Amino acid sequence: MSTNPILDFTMQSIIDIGVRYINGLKIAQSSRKKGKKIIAGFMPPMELCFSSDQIMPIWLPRFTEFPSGMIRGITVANKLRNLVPTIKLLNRVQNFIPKNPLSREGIDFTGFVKPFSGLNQLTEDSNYDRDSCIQMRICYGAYLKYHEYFDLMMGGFDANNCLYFAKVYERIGRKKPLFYFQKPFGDQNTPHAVELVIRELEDFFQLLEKLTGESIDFNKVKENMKLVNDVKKIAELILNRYYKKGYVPIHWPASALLHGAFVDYLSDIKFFHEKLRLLIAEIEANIKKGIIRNYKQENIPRILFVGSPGFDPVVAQIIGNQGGTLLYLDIFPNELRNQLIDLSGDFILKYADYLLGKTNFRRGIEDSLDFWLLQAKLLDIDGIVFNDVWGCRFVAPSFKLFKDQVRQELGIPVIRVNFHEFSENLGQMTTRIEAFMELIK
Amino acid sequence: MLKKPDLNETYNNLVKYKEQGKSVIGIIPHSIVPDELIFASNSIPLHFCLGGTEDQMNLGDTYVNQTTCGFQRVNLGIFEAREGISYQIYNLIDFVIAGTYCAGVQNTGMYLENYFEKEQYRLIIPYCNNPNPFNYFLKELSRLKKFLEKKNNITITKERLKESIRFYNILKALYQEMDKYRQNDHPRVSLYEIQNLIYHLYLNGPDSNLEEATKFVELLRTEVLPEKKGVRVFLSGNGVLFEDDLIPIIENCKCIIAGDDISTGFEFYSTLVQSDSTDPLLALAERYLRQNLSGRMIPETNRLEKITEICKKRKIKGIINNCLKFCDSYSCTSDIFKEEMYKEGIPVLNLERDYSQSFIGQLKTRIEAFLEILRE
Repeated sequence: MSTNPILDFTMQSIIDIGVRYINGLKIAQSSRKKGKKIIAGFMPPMELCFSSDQIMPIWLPRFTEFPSGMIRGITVANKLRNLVPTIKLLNRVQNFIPKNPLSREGIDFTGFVKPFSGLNQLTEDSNYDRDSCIQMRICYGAYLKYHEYFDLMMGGFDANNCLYFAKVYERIGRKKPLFYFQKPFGDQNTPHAVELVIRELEDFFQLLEKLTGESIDFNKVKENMKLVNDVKKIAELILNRYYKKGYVPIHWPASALLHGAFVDYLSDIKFFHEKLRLLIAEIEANIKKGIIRNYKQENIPRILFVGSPGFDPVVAQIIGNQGGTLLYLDIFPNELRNQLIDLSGDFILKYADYLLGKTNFRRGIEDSLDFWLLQAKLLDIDGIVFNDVWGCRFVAPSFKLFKDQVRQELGIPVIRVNFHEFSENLGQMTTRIEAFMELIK
Repeated sequence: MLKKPDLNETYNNLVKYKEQGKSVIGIIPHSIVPDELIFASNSIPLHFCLGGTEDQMNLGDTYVNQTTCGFQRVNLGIFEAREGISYQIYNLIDFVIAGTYCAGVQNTGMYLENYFEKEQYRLIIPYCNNPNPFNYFLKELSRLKKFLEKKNNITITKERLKESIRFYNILKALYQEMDKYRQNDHPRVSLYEIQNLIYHLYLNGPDSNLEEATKFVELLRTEVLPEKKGVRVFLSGNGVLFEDDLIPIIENCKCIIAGDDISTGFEFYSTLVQSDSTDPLLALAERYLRQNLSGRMIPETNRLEKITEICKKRKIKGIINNCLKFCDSYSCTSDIFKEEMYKEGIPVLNLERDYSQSFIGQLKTRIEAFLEILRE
């Protein structure tokens, strides 16, 4: 076992982020009581919702109800600052920790995915199309269960790449107020794309004003966007620059948590910003102490994880068991991470520029393939896992082209893993990944 | 009985057009790309409508996975086969119009470009048609016009475009007249026949199709063709491919497809483009973004209202909704469609399928069972 994901949870910042993450429903309820309007979303960018103090954005899966006893226990223990010491202690006495049968060491994090499986089940029970991707099923399940808790659905943006995704918004829009943001392919040099995005932004701000009964103060918006920019810089540091140096500062459970948190910034940009700053300090300290290992120097195979968003955690565990480590790149947050919002001048114009910046699709999924190839080169990785999520229409069908490009340009092994339900086809997946890791070793 | 066009003849026609200096432009997205604009650029708009077999679909899996709709898998399968008349026809295409109709269209365009040397033009098509995206689409059409002008070394003047619109309107009016003959209580024309004529148009271009359509309408006007009898149904959903036998299967179950909204049927001629507009591009945008009957639009209000209106007017007893598995436009909202039509008192059979033999076997049984309920 080359990685121990539990070590990530001995960092106070990760625990604070995790605790706020699992309290999403409670936070939404309490904000509503205070008269705030709740805007739900499927994917970034949700930062526009920080344009008014009267708005609370929430990523749909953050409504997920974890067992109340677990939430209460974790929240109280963390408040008393007992949680991190407890985890550290448990980590030393690993025998006390429930183990995943697939893992020779480490905590069974798959228990945390159970509430998400519950949302998936809700979707299936509602006769929703069974051939949709897991991300969609979880989000739709959250919508079904928690639609009473939000006032507006904010949609569109990158859903404009995938008709299937867009149609889900249509479905939701039949029962809830919906703002569907049209963001076309193209860049800042496409005048009609810029014009469309500006008009959409103007309409969105008008809607926010109507919803809150307050005018938008763009100076205040810019103040919050400064924090958003800082968050993006830190995110890039964590998931890119450390990778380049050979470190994997956080592993799949903490990484998945952070990726989820990036969508809505845990509904509180100031809190999230503060925790990420703390996280950097903790990572630096752990590197100095040698707690965070340098995988490059130790010649531990580093496998890049790309493809459709949403993945089965066991993939990371199997790779860990085989002496490698997984570098997780998520398509959506990655797109946002690499570019900052220009805060000089007219905010709407600059934000339109940002939305159509280098992270926007020009050609389509080929842009993501190029990005992954570039990352693989820059990070000098040893192999690539391509995540093929069942039902994914936009990303998954590009595997053939990606595989051929990787072989031609990098000459490293690449494998496709299929994902439909959590922990499905474990045996087959294990055999395939083991064979893949043999090639690398 | 109007038969399917002869594909060898189609091939020869296209070769002749190319010899005359015309381009052959492949169109993957249905219902949104204005043929009028392509035709005005001295090109033949060739709609991807060939194939429709399990073998072609399986061959397409070389490129895309099985969660891509059968239509796109068939398109890629025809190319991957690298032989046969369908491949020969598609191989005459100079470039294809793909774009953001849906993910399947994007992926097909990507693979045709990267593996079959077919340059793609990406038309960015919004999902909504309120003023912001409408204005955007209008400018997208203008971008497409410039691209066509450059490619074909031609200036598409307003007059030239208007002329093309007028020409297509004449053709569409003929189809509308044909369509009237299937609205009667005892129609004298079937969807199968209309569709065969539309295949001819989609593969050969409008010039020779005008002759064919005129001849057929003349026949309907002058001769008393046998009347067709049976339960009146409406066919909704995906267009039907050339080698797919869905329509004869339905029509042989003692029923009449008295209305439809499919891209290889009524959608083509449902609405004429305003020909006297001072801005012909605006007229095209209005027709193709606002008045199309495609299930891809959000919301689908226009389509649903139109279907309801047709069903009531044509005394339709039920709707057969042809949903290709993994088609984003139709399959993921087929339950909503059924619900909405149910509210209007029209039962719906959601026929989720692809081109596998196993589905074909079930088709007849499911359709017959549905018709039996409608007859009660």
